Amino acid sequence: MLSCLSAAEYKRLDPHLERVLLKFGQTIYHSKAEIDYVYFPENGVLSIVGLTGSDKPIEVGLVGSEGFAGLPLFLGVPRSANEVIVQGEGTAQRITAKAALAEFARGGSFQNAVLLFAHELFLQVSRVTSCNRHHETEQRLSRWLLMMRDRVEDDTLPLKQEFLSWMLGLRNQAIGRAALVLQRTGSIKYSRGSVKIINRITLEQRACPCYRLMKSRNDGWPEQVKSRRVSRLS
Amino acid sequence: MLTQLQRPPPLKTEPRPANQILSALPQDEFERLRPNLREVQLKIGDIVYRPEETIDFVYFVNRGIVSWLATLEDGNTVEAGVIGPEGVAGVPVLLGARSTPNLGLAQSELFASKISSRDLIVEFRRNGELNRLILRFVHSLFTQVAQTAACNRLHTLDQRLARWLLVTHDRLKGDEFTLTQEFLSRMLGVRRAGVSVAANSLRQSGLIDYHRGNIQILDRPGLESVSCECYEIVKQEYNARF
Repeated sequence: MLSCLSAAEYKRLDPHLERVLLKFGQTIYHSKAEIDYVYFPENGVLSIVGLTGSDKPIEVGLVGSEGFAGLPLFLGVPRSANEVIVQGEGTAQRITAKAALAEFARGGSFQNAVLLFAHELFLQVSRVTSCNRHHETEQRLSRWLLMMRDRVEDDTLPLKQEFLSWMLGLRNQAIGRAALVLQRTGSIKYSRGSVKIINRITLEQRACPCYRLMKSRNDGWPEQVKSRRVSRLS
Repeated sequence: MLTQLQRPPPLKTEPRPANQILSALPQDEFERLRPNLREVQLKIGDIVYRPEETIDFVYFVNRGIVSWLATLEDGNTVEAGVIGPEGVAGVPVLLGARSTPNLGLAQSELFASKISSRDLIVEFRRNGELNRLILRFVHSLFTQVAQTAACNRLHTLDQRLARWLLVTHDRLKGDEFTLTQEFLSRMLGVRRAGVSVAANSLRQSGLIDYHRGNIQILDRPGLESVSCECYEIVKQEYNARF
Protein backbone atom coordinates (compact mmCIF):
# COMPACT_ATOMS: atom_id res chain seq x y z
CA MET A 1 0.00 0.00 0.00
CA LEU A 2 2.84 2.38 0.82
CA SER A 3 4.30 1.83 -2.62
CA CYS A 4 1.14 3.29 -4.20
CA LEU A 5 1.86 6.73 -2.78
CA SER A 6 3.14 9.65 -4.77
CA ALA A 7 6.88 10.32 -4.64
CA ALA A 8 6.34 13.47 -2.55
CA GLU A 9 4.17 11.63 -0.05
CA TYR A 10 6.56 8.74 0.24
CA LYS A 11 9.43 11.14 0.80
CA ARG A 12 7.59 12.80 3.67
CA LEU A 13 6.75 9.45 5.29
CA ASP A 14 10.07 7.75 4.64
CA PRO A 15 12.03 9.27 7.57
CA HIS A 16 9.31 8.03 9.93
CA LEU A 17 9.15 4.48 8.60
CA GLU A 18 10.76 1.71 10.56
CA ARG A 19 10.98 -1.90 9.39
CA VAL A 20 10.00 -4.40 12.07
CA LEU A 21 9.76 -8.18 12.28
CA LEU A 22 6.37 -9.72 12.83
CA LYS A 23 6.62 -12.87 14.94
CA PHE A 24 3.98 -15.56 14.76
CA GLY A 25 1.40 -15.08 17.51
CA GLN A 26 2.73 -11.66 18.56
CA THR A 27 0.09 -9.18 19.67
CA ILE A 28 0.29 -5.90 17.75
CA TYR A 29 -2.60 -4.21 19.53
CA HIS A 30 -4.41 -5.38 22.59
CA SER A 31 -8.13 -4.69 22.62
CA LYS A 32 -8.78 -1.12 23.82
CA ALA A 33 -5.06 -0.32 23.90
CA GLU A 34 -3.70 2.89 22.46
CA ILE A 35 -2.64 2.76 18.81
CA ASP A 36 0.95 4.01 19.01
CA TYR A 37 2.03 2.85 15.55
CA VAL A 38 0.35 2.08 12.26
CA TYR A 39 1.65 -1.17 10.69
CA PHE A 40 1.95 -1.72 6.95
CA PRO A 41 2.74 -5.41 6.41
CA GLU A 42 5.25 -6.11 3.63
CA ASN A 43 4.97 -9.88 3.58
CA GLY A 44 3.63 -10.62 7.05
CA VAL A 45 -0.06 -11.16 7.73
CA LEU A 46 -2.05 -9.63 10.56
CA SER A 47 -5.25 -11.03 11.92
CA ILE A 48 -8.00 -8.82 13.30
CA VAL A 49 -9.53 -10.68 16.16
CA GLY A 50 -12.96 -10.31 17.73
CA LEU A 51 -13.35 -10.81 21.46
CA THR A 52 -16.53 -11.42 23.34
CA GLY A 53 -15.31 -11.83 26.89
CA SER A 54 -16.50 -15.36 27.44
CA ASP A 55 -15.32 -17.12 24.28
CA LYS A 56 -11.96 -17.77 22.71
CA PRO A 57 -10.77 -15.05 20.34
CA ILE A 58 -12.01 -15.43 16.75
CA GLU A 59 -10.68 -13.96 13.54
CA VAL A 60 -12.86 -11.40 11.76
CA GLY A 61 -10.39 -10.17 9.11
CA LEU A 62 -6.94 -10.64 7.57
CA VAL A 63 -4.56 -7.90 6.45
CA GLY A 64 -1.47 -8.25 4.31
CA SER A 65 0.53 -5.94 2.07
CA GLU A 66 -2.67 -4.59 0.51
CA GLY A 67 -3.47 -2.71 3.70
CA PHE A 68 -2.47 -1.76 7.21
CA ALA A 69 -3.41 -2.19 10.84
CA GLY A 70 -4.46 0.79 12.94
CA LEU A 71 -7.55 1.91 11.04
CA PRO A 72 -9.46 3.30 14.07
CA LEU A 73 -6.79 5.98 14.41
CA PHE A 74 -7.80 7.54 11.10
CA LEU A 75 -11.47 7.29 11.99
CA GLY A 76 -10.90 9.46 15.04
CA VAL A 77 -10.44 6.78 17.67
CA PRO A 78 -6.92 6.47 19.08
CA ARG A 79 -7.34 2.94 20.38
CA SER A 80 -7.99 -0.41 18.78
CA ALA A 81 -11.44 -1.89 19.30
CA ASN A 82 -10.26 -5.34 18.24
CA GLU A 83 -7.12 -7.23 19.04
CA VAL A 84 -4.59 -7.55 16.22
CA ILE A 85 -2.12 -10.43 16.15
CA VAL A 86 0.50 -11.77 13.76
CA GLN A 87 -0.88 -14.68 11.77
CA GLY A 88 1.90 -14.96 9.18
CA GLU A 89 5.52 -14.14 9.97
CA GLY A 90 7.27 -11.50 7.96
CA THR A 91 8.09 -7.83 8.06
CA ALA A 92 6.11 -4.62 8.26
CA GLN A 93 6.89 -0.96 7.98
CA ARG A 94 5.57 0.92 10.94
CA ILE A 95 5.09 4.60 11.51
CA THR A 96 4.14 6.59 14.60
CA ALA A 97 0.49 7.50 14.99
CA LYS A 98 1.42 11.18 14.97
CA ALA A 99 3.27 11.07 11.64
CA ALA A 100 0.55 8.94 10.03
CA LEU A 101 -2.19 11.31 11.15
CA ALA A 102 -0.27 14.35 9.92
CA GLU A 103 0.00 12.84 6.45
CA PHE A 104 -3.65 11.74 6.51
CA ALA A 105 -4.73 15.29 7.35
CA ARG A 106 -3.09 16.57 4.16
CA GLY A 107 -5.87 14.83 2.26
CA GLY A 108 -3.82 13.53 -0.67
CA SER A 109 -3.49 10.04 -2.06
CA PHE A 110 -2.47 8.70 1.36
CA GLN A 111 -5.88 9.67 2.70
CA ASN A 112 -7.54 8.17 -0.37
CA ALA A 113 -5.66 4.89 0.05
CA VAL A 114 -6.49 4.71 3.76
CA LEU A 115 -10.21 5.28 3.15
CA LEU A 116 -10.38 2.85 0.25
CA PHE A 117 -8.71 0.19 2.36
CA ALA A 118 -11.25 0.91 5.12
CA HIS A 119 -13.94 0.11 2.56
CA GLU A 120 -12.21 -3.11 1.45
CA LEU A 121 -11.75 -4.25 5.02
CA PHE A 122 -15.37 -3.44 5.81
CA LEU A 123 -16.43 -5.66 2.91
CA GLN A 124 -14.12 -8.46 3.95
CA VAL A 125 -15.50 -8.42 7.48
CA SER A 126 -19.10 -8.26 6.29
CA ARG A 127 -18.40 -11.31 4.09
CA VAL A 128 -17.08 -13.07 7.16
CA THR A 129 -20.38 -12.39 8.98
CA SER A 130 -22.18 -14.48 6.38
CA CYS A 131 -19.40 -17.02 5.83
CA ASN A 132 -19.29 -17.76 9.55
CA ARG A 133 -23.02 -18.31 9.46
CA HIS A 134 -23.51 -20.32 6.28
CA HIS A 135 -20.39 -22.28 5.29
CA GLU A 136 -18.92 -25.61 6.29
CA THR A 137 -15.64 -26.19 8.10
CA GLU A 138 -13.83 -27.55 5.06
CA GLN A 139 -14.92 -24.61 2.88
CA ARG A 140 -13.89 -22.10 5.51
CA LEU A 141 -10.55 -23.76 6.18
CA SER A 142 -9.81 -23.78 2.42
CA ARG A 143 -10.73 -20.12 2.13
CA TRP A 144 -8.53 -19.25 5.07
CA LEU A 145 -5.52 -21.15 3.70
CA LEU A 146 -5.88 -19.42 0.32
CA MET A 147 -6.22 -15.98 1.86
CA MET A 148 -3.10 -16.62 3.93
CA ARG A 149 -1.24 -17.97 0.93
CA ASP A 150 -2.03 -14.83 -1.09
CA ARG A 151 -0.60 -12.63 1.61
CA VAL A 152 2.41 -14.63 2.79
CA GLU A 153 3.36 -15.50 -0.81
CA ASP A 154 4.63 -18.87 0.32
CA ASP A 155 3.04 -22.30 -0.08
CA THR A 156 4.11 -23.40 3.37
CA LEU A 157 2.15 -21.85 6.18
CA PRO A 158 2.73 -22.23 9.90
CA LEU A 159 -0.32 -23.80 11.43
CA LYS A 160 -0.95 -24.48 15.06
CA GLN A 161 -4.13 -26.46 15.16
CA GLU A 162 -5.41 -25.18 18.46
CA PHE A 163 -4.75 -21.58 17.52
CA LEU A 164 -6.46 -22.02 14.16
CA SER A 165 -9.46 -23.66 15.79
CA TRP A 166 -9.94 -20.49 17.85
CA MET A 167 -9.50 -18.26 14.82
CA LEU A 168 -12.16 -20.09 12.84
CA GLY A 169 -14.39 -20.64 15.86
CA LEU A 170 -14.25 -24.43 15.57
CA ARG A 171 -13.38 -27.39 17.72
CA ASN A 172 -9.86 -28.70 17.47
CA GLN A 173 -11.09 -32.05 16.13
CA ALA A 174 -13.18 -30.34 13.43
CA ILE A 175 -10.10 -28.60 12.05
CA GLY A 176 -8.15 -31.86 12.17
CA ARG A 177 -10.88 -33.71 10.27
CA ALA A 178 -11.21 -30.99 7.62
CA ALA A 179 -7.43 -30.84 7.16
CA LEU A 180 -7.35 -34.62 6.69
CA VAL A 181 -9.99 -34.42 3.96
CA LEU A 182 -8.01 -31.71 2.18
CA GLN A 183 -4.90 -33.84 2.49
CA ARG A 184 -6.57 -37.01 1.15
CA THR A 185 -7.74 -35.11 -1.91
CA GLY A 186 -4.22 -33.87 -2.52
CA SER A 187 -4.86 -30.19 -1.88
CA ILE A 188 -2.54 -29.82 1.08
CA LYS A 189 0.13 -31.65 3.00
CA TYR A 190 -0.46 -31.33 6.66
CA SER A 191 2.11 -31.97 9.34
CA ARG A 192 2.61 -30.87 12.89
CA GLY A 193 2.94 -27.10 12.97
CA SER A 194 2.68 -26.43 9.25
CA VAL A 195 0.59 -26.84 6.13
CA LYS A 196 1.92 -26.99 2.61
CA ILE A 197 -0.40 -26.10 -0.25
CA ILE A 198 0.11 -28.77 -2.94
CA ASN A 199 -2.73 -28.04 -5.33
CA ARG A 200 -4.11 -24.57 -5.39
CA ILE A 201 -6.79 -25.34 -7.97
CA THR A 202 -8.48 -28.10 -5.97
CA LEU A 203 -8.22 -25.99 -2.83
CA GLU A 204 -10.01 -23.15 -4.62
CA GLN A 205 -12.72 -25.59 -5.68
CA ARG A 206 -13.20 -26.64 -2.08
CA ALA A 207 -13.29 -23.11 -0.71
CA CYS A 208 -16.60 -21.28 -0.35
CA PRO A 209 -17.33 -18.55 -2.94
CA CYS A 210 -16.33 -16.00 -0.31
CA TYR A 211 -12.69 -16.51 -1.27
CA ARG A 212 -13.26 -15.57 -4.89
CA LEU A 213 -15.55 -12.71 -3.93
CA MET A 214 -13.05 -11.25 -1.50
CA LYS A 215 -10.17 -11.75 -3.90
CA SER A 216 -11.81 -10.20 -6.93
CA ARG A 217 -12.30 -7.02 -4.93
CA ASN A 218 -8.66 -6.87 -4.03
CA ASP A 219 -7.38 -8.00 -7.39
CA GLY A 220 -5.12 -5.57 -9.09
CA TRP A 221 -4.22 -3.99 -5.84
CA PRO A 222 -1.63 -6.40 -4.53
CA GLU A 223 -0.29 -6.72 -8.08
CA GLN A 224 0.00 -2.98 -8.37
CA VAL A 225 1.67 -2.87 -4.99
CA LYS A 226 4.14 -5.56 -6.00
CA SER A 227 5.12 -3.99 -9.30
CA ARG A 228 5.62 -0.57 -7.76
CA ARG A 229 7.59 -2.02 -4.92
CA VAL A 230 9.95 -3.71 -7.34
CA SER A 231 10.41 -0.51 -9.31
CA ARG A 232 11.19 1.40 -6.14
CA LEU A 233 13.76 -1.09 -4.93
CA SER A 234 15.54 -1.25 -8.26
CA MET B 1 -45.60 56.02 26.15
CA LEU B 2 -45.86 52.51 25.04
CA THR B 3 -43.67 51.57 22.19
CA GLN B 4 -45.15 49.10 19.87
CA LEU B 5 -43.61 45.75 20.49
CA GLN B 6 -41.78 44.57 17.48
CA ARG B 7 -42.56 41.10 16.35
CA PRO B 8 -39.48 38.97 16.34
CA PRO B 9 -38.10 38.40 12.86
CA PRO B 10 -39.12 35.04 11.41
CA LEU B 11 -36.73 32.32 12.44
CA LYS B 12 -34.13 32.02 9.79
CA THR B 13 -33.14 28.56 10.81
CA GLU B 14 -35.70 25.83 10.46
CA PRO B 15 -35.33 22.91 12.79
CA ARG B 16 -32.64 20.50 11.74
CA PRO B 17 -33.39 16.92 10.74
CA ALA B 18 -33.26 14.47 13.64
CA ASN B 19 -30.19 12.69 12.29
CA GLN B 20 -27.43 12.86 14.89
CA ILE B 21 -24.71 13.75 12.40
CA LEU B 22 -26.70 16.51 10.71
CA SER B 23 -27.83 17.94 14.03
CA ALA B 24 -24.27 18.07 15.36
CA LEU B 25 -22.86 20.01 12.39
CA PRO B 26 -21.72 23.60 12.83
CA GLN B 27 -24.15 26.08 11.27
CA ASP B 28 -22.02 26.95 8.24
CA GLU B 29 -21.46 23.33 7.27
CA PHE B 30 -25.14 22.52 7.65
CA GLU B 31 -26.15 25.58 5.61
CA ARG B 32 -23.94 24.40 2.76
CA LEU B 33 -25.65 21.00 2.77
CA ARG B 34 -29.20 22.19 3.36
CA PRO B 35 -30.12 23.19 -0.22
CA ASN B 36 -29.15 19.70 -1.39
CA LEU B 37 -31.01 17.70 1.25
CA ARG B 38 -34.37 16.14 0.37
CA GLU B 39 -36.67 14.60 2.95
CA VAL B 40 -37.78 11.16 1.82
CA GLN B 41 -39.88 8.37 3.21
CA LEU B 42 -39.43 4.68 2.42
CA LYS B 43 -41.63 1.73 3.24
CA ILE B 44 -40.55 -1.27 5.25
CA GLY B 45 -38.73 -3.72 2.99
CA ASP B 46 -37.85 -1.10 0.33
CA ILE B 47 -34.44 -1.58 -1.21
CA VAL B 48 -32.13 1.34 -0.53
CA TYR B 49 -29.06 -0.09 -2.29
CA ARG B 50 -28.87 -3.01 -4.68
CA PRO B 51 -25.62 -5.01 -4.73
CA GLU B 52 -23.08 -3.64 -7.23
CA GLU B 53 -25.27 -0.73 -8.33
CA THR B 54 -23.76 2.73 -8.32
CA ILE B 55 -24.50 4.56 -5.09
CA ASP B 56 -25.97 7.83 -6.38
CA PHE B 57 -27.49 8.99 -3.11
CA VAL B 58 -26.56 8.94 0.54
CA TYR B 59 -29.22 8.77 3.26
CA PHE B 60 -28.97 10.43 6.67
CA VAL B 61 -31.46 8.40 8.69
CA ASN B 62 -33.88 10.57 10.69
CA ARG B 63 -36.17 7.79 11.87
CA GLY B 64 -36.09 4.08 11.21
CA ILE B 65 -33.35 1.62 10.31
CA VAL B 66 -31.38 0.70 7.22
CA SER B 67 -30.12 -2.85 7.37
CA TRP B 68 -26.92 -3.96 5.56
CA LEU B 69 -27.14 -7.53 4.40
CA ALA B 70 -24.24 -9.60 3.20
CA THR B 71 -25.57 -11.66 0.33
CA LEU B 72 -24.41 -14.98 -1.04
CA GLU B 73 -24.75 -16.32 -4.57
CA ASP B 74 -27.25 -18.96 -3.42
CA GLY B 75 -29.53 -16.22 -2.08
CA ASN B 76 -28.64 -16.76 1.56
CA THR B 77 -28.25 -13.55 3.50
CA VAL B 78 -27.28 -12.39 6.94
CA GLU B 79 -27.38 -8.93 8.41
CA ALA B 80 -23.91 -7.46 8.78
CA GLY B 81 -25.00 -4.24 10.47
CA VAL B 82 -27.74 -1.68 10.99
CA ILE B 83 -27.82 2.08 10.61
CA GLY B 84 -30.27 4.25 12.54
CA PRO B 85 -30.52 7.97 13.30
CA GLU B 86 -26.95 7.88 14.64
CA GLY B 87 -25.59 7.42 11.15
CA VAL B 88 -25.65 7.55 7.41
CA ALA B 89 -26.22 4.91 4.72
CA GLY B 90 -24.09 5.00 1.59
CA VAL B 91 -20.69 5.36 3.26
CA PRO B 92 -18.80 3.42 0.53
CA VAL B 93 -18.94 6.44 -1.82
CA LEU B 94 -17.28 8.59 0.83
CA LEU B 95 -14.51 6.03 1.16
CA GLY B 96 -13.82 6.15 -2.56
CA ALA B 97 -15.88 3.18 -3.84
CA ARG B 98 -18.73 3.44 -6.33
CA SER B 99 -20.82 0.51 -5.17
CA THR B 100 -21.00 -2.29 -2.65
CA PRO B 101 -21.79 -6.01 -2.96
CA ASN B 102 -24.04 -5.70 0.09
CA LEU B 103 -27.78 -5.09 0.04
CA GLY B 104 -29.26 -2.07 1.84
CA LEU B 105 -32.83 -2.55 3.00
CA ALA B 106 -35.32 -0.40 4.93
CA GLN B 107 -35.83 -2.54 8.02
CA SER B 108 -38.71 -0.34 9.16
CA GLU B 109 -40.61 2.59 7.79
CA LEU B 110 -37.78 4.97 7.04
CA PHE B 111 -37.52 8.77 7.15
CA ALA B 112 -34.27 10.14 5.82
CA SER B 113 -32.56 13.24 4.45
CA LYS B 114 -31.28 12.25 1.06
CA ILE B 115 -28.40 13.94 -0.75
CA SER B 116 -26.58 13.16 -3.97
CA SER B 117 -23.26 11.40 -3.50
CA ARG B 118 -21.55 14.11 -5.53
CA ASP B 119 -22.78 16.95 -3.32
CA LEU B 120 -21.92 15.13 -0.12
CA ILE B 121 -18.42 14.19 -1.29
CA VAL B 122 -17.65 17.87 -1.88
CA GLU B 123 -18.46 18.73 1.72
CA PHE B 124 -16.79 15.58 3.06
CA ARG B 125 -13.59 16.52 1.25
CA ARG B 126 -13.36 19.81 3.12
CA ASN B 127 -12.11 17.72 6.05
CA GLY B 128 -14.30 19.62 8.50
CA GLU B 129 -16.72 18.44 11.16
CA LEU B 130 -18.86 16.45 8.70
CA ASN B 131 -15.80 14.45 7.76
CA ARG B 132 -14.90 13.88 11.41
CA LEU B 133 -18.43 12.83 12.43
CA ILE B 134 -18.86 10.47 9.50
CA LEU B 135 -15.48 8.78 10.01
CA ARG B 136 -16.30 8.36 13.68
CA PHE B 137 -19.56 6.72 12.64
CA VAL B 138 -17.69 4.44 10.22
CA HIS B 139 -15.63 3.24 13.17
CA SER B 140 -18.78 2.41 15.14
CA LEU B 141 -20.28 0.61 12.18
CA PHE B 142 -17.06 -1.33 11.63
CA THR B 143 -17.08 -2.39 15.27
CA GLN B 144 -20.66 -3.55 14.88
CA VAL B 145 -19.91 -5.62 11.78
CA ALA B 146 -16.74 -7.14 13.25
CA GLN B 147 -18.61 -8.12 16.41
CA THR B 148 -21.37 -9.65 14.30
CA ALA B 149 -18.81 -11.76 12.42
CA ALA B 150 -17.70 -13.25 15.73
CA CYS B 151 -21.24 -13.45 17.12
CA ASN B 152 -22.61 -15.33 14.10
CA ARG B 153 -20.09 -18.06 14.68
CA LEU B 154 -20.08 -18.31 18.44
CA HIS B 155 -23.51 -17.58 19.82
CA THR B 156 -26.83 -19.38 19.99
CA LEU B 157 -29.87 -18.27 18.04
CA ASP B 158 -31.68 -17.26 21.26
CA GLN B 159 -28.76 -14.98 22.17
CA ARG B 160 -28.52 -13.53 18.67
CA LEU B 161 -32.26 -12.92 18.39
CA ALA B 162 -32.28 -11.14 21.76
CA ARG B 163 -29.32 -9.02 20.64
CA TRP B 164 -31.01 -8.20 17.36
CA LEU B 165 -34.21 -7.11 19.10
CA LEU B 166 -32.26 -4.86 21.47
CA VAL B 167 -30.33 -3.24 18.62
CA THR B 168 -33.61 -2.60 16.78
CA HIS B 169 -35.35 -1.34 19.91
CA ASP B 170 -32.55 1.18 20.51
CA ARG B 171 -33.09 2.73 17.10
CA LEU B 172 -36.88 2.67 16.78
CA LYS B 173 -39.25 4.70 18.88
CA GLY B 174 -41.77 2.59 20.79
CA ASP B 175 -41.86 -0.94 22.10
CA GLU B 176 -43.75 -2.49 19.22
CA PHE B 177 -42.55 -3.01 15.67
CA THR B 178 -43.47 -4.83 12.51
CA LEU B 179 -41.42 -7.93 11.97
CA THR B 180 -42.22 -11.04 10.02
CA GLN B 181 -40.46 -14.34 10.66
CA GLU B 182 -39.45 -14.39 7.02
CA PHE B 183 -37.65 -11.09 7.52
CA LEU B 184 -35.98 -12.24 10.73
CA SER B 185 -34.77 -15.41 9.09
CA ARG B 186 -33.00 -13.35 6.42
CA MET B 187 -31.47 -11.05 9.01
CA LEU B 188 -30.20 -13.81 11.27
CA GLY B 189 -29.28 -16.21 8.47
CA VAL B 190 -31.34 -19.13 9.78
CA ARG B 191 -34.40 -21.06 8.63
CA ARG B 192 -37.83 -19.75 9.50
CA ALA B 193 -38.50 -22.75 11.68
CA GLY B 194 -35.45 -21.84 13.73
CA VAL B 195 -36.63 -18.26 14.16
CA SER B 196 -40.00 -19.54 15.25
CA VAL B 197 -38.51 -21.74 17.98
CA ALA B 198 -36.27 -18.95 19.28
CA ALA B 199 -39.06 -16.36 19.25
CA ASN B 200 -41.32 -18.80 21.10
CA SER B 201 -38.73 -19.35 23.76
CA LEU B 202 -38.43 -15.58 24.32
CA ARG B 203 -42.21 -15.31 24.42
CA GLN B 204 -42.60 -18.12 26.90
CA SER B 205 -40.10 -16.38 29.17
CA GLY B 206 -42.34 -13.30 29.04
CA LEU B 207 -39.70 -11.12 27.33
CA ILE B 208 -41.59 -10.42 24.12
CA ASP B 209 -44.98 -10.90 22.59
CA TYR B 210 -45.66 -11.32 18.92
CA HIS B 211 -48.62 -11.87 16.67
CA ARG B 212 -49.32 -11.34 13.01
CA GLY B 213 -45.98 -9.85 12.15
CA ASN B 214 -45.77 -7.55 15.15
CA ILE B 215 -43.26 -7.87 17.95
CA GLN B 216 -43.68 -6.16 21.29
CA ILE B 217 -40.83 -5.79 23.77
CA LEU B 218 -42.18 -6.61 27.24
CA ASP B 219 -39.07 -7.02 29.36
CA ARG B 220 -35.99 -5.20 28.15
CA PRO B 221 -33.70 -6.06 31.08
CA GLY B 222 -34.75 -9.68 30.58
CA LEU B 223 -33.73 -9.52 26.91
CA GLU B 224 -30.41 -7.99 27.90
CA SER B 225 -29.69 -10.92 30.17
CA VAL B 226 -30.51 -13.44 27.41
CA SER B 227 -28.48 -11.58 24.76
CA CYS B 228 -24.80 -12.32 24.28
CA GLU B 229 -22.31 -9.68 25.44
CA CYS B 230 -21.93 -8.50 21.83
CA TYR B 231 -24.82 -6.12 22.39
CA GLU B 232 -23.07 -4.34 25.24
CA ILE B 233 -19.63 -4.35 23.56
CA VAL B 234 -20.92 -2.58 20.44
CA LYS B 235 -23.08 -0.18 22.41
CA GLN B 236 -20.10 0.97 24.46
CA GLU B 237 -18.17 1.64 21.26
CA TYR B 238 -21.02 3.78 19.93
CA ASN B 239 -21.38 5.72 23.14
CA ALA B 240 -17.68 6.37 23.71
CA ARG B 241 -16.67 9.96 23.04
CA PHE B 242 -13.19 11.13 22.26
